[in-house]
Amino acid sequence: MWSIGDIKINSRLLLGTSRFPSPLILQQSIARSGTEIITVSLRRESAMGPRDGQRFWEQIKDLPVRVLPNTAGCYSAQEAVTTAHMARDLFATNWIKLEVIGDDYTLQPDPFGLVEAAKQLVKDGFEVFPYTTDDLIVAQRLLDAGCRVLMPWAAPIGSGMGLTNPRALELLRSRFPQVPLIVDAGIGRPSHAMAAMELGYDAVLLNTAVSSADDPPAMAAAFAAAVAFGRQGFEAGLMDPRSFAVASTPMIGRAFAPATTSEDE
Amino acid sequence: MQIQVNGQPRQVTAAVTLQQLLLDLGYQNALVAVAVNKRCVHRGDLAATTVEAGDQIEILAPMAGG
Repeated sequence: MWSIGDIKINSRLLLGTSRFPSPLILQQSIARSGTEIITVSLRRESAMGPRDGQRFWEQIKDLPVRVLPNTAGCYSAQEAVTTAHMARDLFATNWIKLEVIGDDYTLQPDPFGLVEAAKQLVKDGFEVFPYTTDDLIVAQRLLDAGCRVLMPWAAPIGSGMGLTNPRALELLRSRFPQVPLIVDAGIGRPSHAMAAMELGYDAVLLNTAVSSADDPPAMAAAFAAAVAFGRQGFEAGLMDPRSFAVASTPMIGRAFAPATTSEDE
Repeated sequence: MQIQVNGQPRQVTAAVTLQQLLLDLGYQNALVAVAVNKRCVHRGDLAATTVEAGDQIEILAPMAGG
């Protein structure tokens, strides 16, 4: 069990809803992931068009999950703030995954726009989930702005590279022991998710690793298990690595040991 | 007068409200959120907000996202 504000959450896996092969496979994947939080977005919809947005919402609105709308595609604080307000209107939630993108090639967050937008949205009553880099000082500024949760990247969105800078993630964990930390973006395999959980992260958010799998519902189940086992390992207390061997089998009484002298006995 | 809706130019009658504009454009019963000139106009304010010439209007709907 972990929490964001007053909201208690059991599952430590947050799932994106994009790029699934079909609505049915999305629903099956959500079910098998055990997630309680799914991310959604907003896009222009043409008036006389097929109402894709409406149809998407019909598919997910009755699922037993909370929605976390994002501001994907925003390149300035003002765009992100406006999109967040529109998301609150549309999805009737004050939760917002705040994305302010600074670079097209890496989709790297713009930390300056991010902090600016976070300040405004916290003032406006939002629970801001900032998608950020693993930079310690940016993280501190986001907390200063009133964010109660942080979502550092593991690697660029959709790259599937895993934890490219685990030391930085570890540092965030140790500096902010009480803040809910979610690794968001870059997770490609269940082992990556498990590694994040073994660092003591509260949860992971992923999308492409499941949606692009040959069998997305099965991959969702694999991630659910990996996240649970990683957390279990963290809570049980992981041993520290050592650069030399320490025999796990006791040496006393071993076979073929040199004969002991009578004085020893 | 001319406005822009989702980046496309549109001719609309003067003094039309956002609520009426949504109906005129065919968004009946659609689940959408509206912004005018990059400011969100909350659902409860659509009937009381009048469209001005040159307004840039965004009409957004839910979509899958990561």
